[in-house]
Amino acid sequence: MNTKSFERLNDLMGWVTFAIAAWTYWMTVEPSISFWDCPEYVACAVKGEVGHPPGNTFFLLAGRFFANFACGDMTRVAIWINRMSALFSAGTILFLFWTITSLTSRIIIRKEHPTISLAQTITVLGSGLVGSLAYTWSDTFWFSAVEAEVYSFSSLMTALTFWLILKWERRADNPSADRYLILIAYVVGLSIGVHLLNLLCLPAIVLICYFRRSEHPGFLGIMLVLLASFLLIAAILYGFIPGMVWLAKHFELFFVNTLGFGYNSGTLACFVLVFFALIALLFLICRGIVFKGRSRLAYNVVFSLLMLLVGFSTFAQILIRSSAGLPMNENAPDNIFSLSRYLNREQYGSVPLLYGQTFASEVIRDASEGKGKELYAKVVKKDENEPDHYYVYDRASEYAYDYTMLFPRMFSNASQHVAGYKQWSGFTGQRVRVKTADGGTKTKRVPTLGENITFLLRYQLGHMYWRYFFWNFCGRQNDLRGNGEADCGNWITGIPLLDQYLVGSQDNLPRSISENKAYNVFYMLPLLLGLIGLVWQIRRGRAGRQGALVVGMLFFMTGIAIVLYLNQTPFQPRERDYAYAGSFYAFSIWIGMGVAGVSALVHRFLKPAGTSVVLASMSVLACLCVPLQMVGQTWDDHDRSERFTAHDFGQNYLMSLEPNAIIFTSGDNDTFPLWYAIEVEGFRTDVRVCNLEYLQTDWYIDQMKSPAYDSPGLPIPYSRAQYAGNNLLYLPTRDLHLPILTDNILPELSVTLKEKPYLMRNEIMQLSMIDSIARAGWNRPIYFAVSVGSDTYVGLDAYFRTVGLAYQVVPSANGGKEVIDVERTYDCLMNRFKWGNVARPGIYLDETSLNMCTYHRMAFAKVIDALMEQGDTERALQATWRCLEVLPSYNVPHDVSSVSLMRCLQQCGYTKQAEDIARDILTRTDEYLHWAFSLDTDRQRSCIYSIRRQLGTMQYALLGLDDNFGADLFNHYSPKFKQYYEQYSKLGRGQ
Amino acid sequence: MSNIPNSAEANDFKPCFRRRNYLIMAVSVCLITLGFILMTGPSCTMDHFTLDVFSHLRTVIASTCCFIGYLTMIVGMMI
Repeated sequence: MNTKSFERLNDLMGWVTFAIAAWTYWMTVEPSISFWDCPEYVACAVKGEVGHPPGNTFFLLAGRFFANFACGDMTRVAIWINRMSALFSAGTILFLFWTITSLTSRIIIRKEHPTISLAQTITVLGSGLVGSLAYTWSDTFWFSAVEAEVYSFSSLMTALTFWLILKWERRADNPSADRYLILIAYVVGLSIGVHLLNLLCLPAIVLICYFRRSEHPGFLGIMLVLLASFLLIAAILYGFIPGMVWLAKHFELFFVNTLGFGYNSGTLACFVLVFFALIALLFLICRGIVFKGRSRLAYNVVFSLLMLLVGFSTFAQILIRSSAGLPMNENAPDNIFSLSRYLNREQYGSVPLLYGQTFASEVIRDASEGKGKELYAKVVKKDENEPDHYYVYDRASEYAYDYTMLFPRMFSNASQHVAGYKQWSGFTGQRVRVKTADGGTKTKRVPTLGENITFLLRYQLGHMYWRYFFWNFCGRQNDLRGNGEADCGNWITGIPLLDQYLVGSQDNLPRSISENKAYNVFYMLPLLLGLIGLVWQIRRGRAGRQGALVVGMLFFMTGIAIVLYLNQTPFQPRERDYAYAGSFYAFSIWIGMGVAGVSALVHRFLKPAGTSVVLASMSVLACLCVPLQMVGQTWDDHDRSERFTAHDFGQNYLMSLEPNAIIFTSGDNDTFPLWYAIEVEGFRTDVRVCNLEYLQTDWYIDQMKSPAYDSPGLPIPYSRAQYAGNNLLYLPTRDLHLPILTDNILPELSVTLKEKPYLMRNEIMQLSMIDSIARAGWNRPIYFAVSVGSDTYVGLDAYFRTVGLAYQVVPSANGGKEVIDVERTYDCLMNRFKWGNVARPGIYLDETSLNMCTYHRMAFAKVIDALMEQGDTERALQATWRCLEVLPSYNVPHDVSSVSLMRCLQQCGYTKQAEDIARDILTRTDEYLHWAFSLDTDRQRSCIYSIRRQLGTMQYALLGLDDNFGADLFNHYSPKFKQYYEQYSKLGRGQ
Repeated sequence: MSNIPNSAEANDFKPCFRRRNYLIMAVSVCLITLGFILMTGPSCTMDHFTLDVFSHLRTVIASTCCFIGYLTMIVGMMI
């Protein structure tokens, strides 16, 4: 076969894989928003609003483009942005296919024989097919492919860049191939506006260039080139971006403060000037006036810089849209100074990498504090005609710590993090003597370098990287978020002996593991195939070793290097596997090469069995079973079609509220779906969602004080000047007692905060809002979402009344008991709420969706209990039937709230149905506890929270039984409960 | 940009882009600039909320114009 027809076949097969991937993702895409950041992204894309730092401008532009296909139907824009992810992910698969075939064929086809035999064609194309399909159906990549997140687009950019450099490599001798390099610069520039992950493929790319250009590549050369590539990343990350920003800041100050032009005039002038300066330089180069003799290099470099700048210009979108004063305008980056803080993600704090503080370090407060560089902000105008001006609101503080060390991995002093650090690293520490502020010394225990390394290996690498890696290529226990427990989110293989060693007994698995849809086992086959591919590649001469180094570099940079850079703290709020999809991409290249490896083995050992075409075909078919086995396992836990949980539950929060309400929220999942509902679907635009974490910042208070849609600004009594910058950051208090006076009809409301040393800015705002509302005669209903933490209640929980999915603050003390607005909650549950298709048989509900279902069932339980107490058995029974119908136990397993349903059914005479619930709860808890106590002591201890919860549920269910109802169940399970309880107490004592 | 000559009178050097590349790239820059200009307009303030910030022109048309502009640049390079 000549190379022409091979190329054609290669193109065709690439598109076939693309079609398979696109079909897979298109079928399984979520029909509306998903949880976490997705609703925020959808709202930002569709309405051009400003989301969380560091901004994903090009992603938003692309999202807006795809939203156009919804043809104005705002309920359909989310699925179109999800479909964009699906298509971009399929595009990644396309480039992966061509990357694999390109890397494999260069090893198989010798330079001396430029033709390719049929058997070789089959092997090469088979490699591409198996490798790219394995990645298509792998856990992590599929997860991001069916929701509106940036990771799909970002991986497309990476795959495209990698493929482009291989394309360039084939034509590098032709000068017109330089355009590929310039295009790469442009893609990198654009990808800054998608996700910075893309920069990480640069070392691999630079290596390819080096191998192509150098006559005799050697060890020293490779090292130098790698160093240069790291410098290139640093130059873009710490040179180009901050350099442009630095220049723009100076222009802006000069234009606005000195010349008196309007805001952003200097920034615009700066970018226009740099743009035309680069073009002028190009002109001079072409004319041979500068860089004569090195024109080609100079031209390519300057043109690449120009394209990097054009790609980076997507960030103009942030400045322009933020200046429009939008309701969603995170960090308000409407000028170059706030944009700079936004790009640097300053709200997330800084993380030490090579040298810095440990969790035991304390900040040294000294005179140099606040003497750093000036921080500028827009002046607070007294009237509208005052000219634009920037003022220095503060100076940066560079904190010094009393103890610092090399390579600090355990740096956060948040108490939860410290507990995690100690647990993962086996902390004993070493004593050091440090100076105190008053000049004295004291001793304290600080972590050693060895303990830092242990934490890196066990947690950051082992738990937060390799666990994810093995999920994709060996198997996964379930989709429960894991913090090291024996029953949550571990990696397994499906081989009983190995799994026994990894996570404990696999006999009599409880249904929470065995029936979890994310229980996927691949018997390590993809891993083995990948390792075969790696070995095969390395053993194929110089071209093979070079290729292995390139792929290895990609694998390292998009995996382990990110781990080192992120320096993650323990107890992450969600699984972070999506960040490392790039390294699983690199490994999939080796899975593809595994086919060539297997084919080579078959040829060596089974030569007499047939012609080489037959042998090659057999190898490909055998290896194809690996991705097919994978999809058999992974389809059901990635199929999000028909699932509307995030969409409906977000709206349910809003439906709980009276008109004109304010609701305090705190997490991603009780904030973003609500934003989406208001912003995109225009649902309950009278409600104001107020996120308590953002309420610590002055920009968010500005936005809360401003009207948005049909919701007037919030009654915060402070003026901008009072809270801007660093004003009113906190208020020292102790044993605060705050009487809130109301008119004579309503009782006084008073808040008592014992032992609280200070009020944070957000707490001051919360209390001042309540105060204003109380003074105005409770003219605006105010709520907390049920999902916010009790640490944000600022003593108001004494005035809580449950309504649907929220606690309303009402001017009547509840005396420490749970009070519920029965009528409104009943109405919400029976008539208003929507249920996200939860009752559909076979629907996939992940942990987040199930948790939300539990909140709803809890609301049912409260209403049913309250109605039973009132003697309104008829409505209690109706609510029970409704709960069983909309949250059926086959999709949402019975939990502690179901006991209320059971009691209601029993008292209304539906003994059989009540017994079914009791039996279901008891068998489930019994199954779990039986399994948990069959584990070894360390593993039991790791599950202690689950054990306690299951015991509680079991006990609560048993308490609902008596001689007349469920006596056999009681007699059967009560002794078991006692036995488990004893085991649990023993476990507690052992600690 | 289109006035950059591709001749080799002064130099042996031939850039990898030619006149038609520059033309399309110029179109791309114009589209991007136009998109960003369309995005601007009156803004919401602390006292006043206006739906104009979400007008069809400022969100749909402006963003789409920019997006197409950015894609055009790729065409301009590869053609």
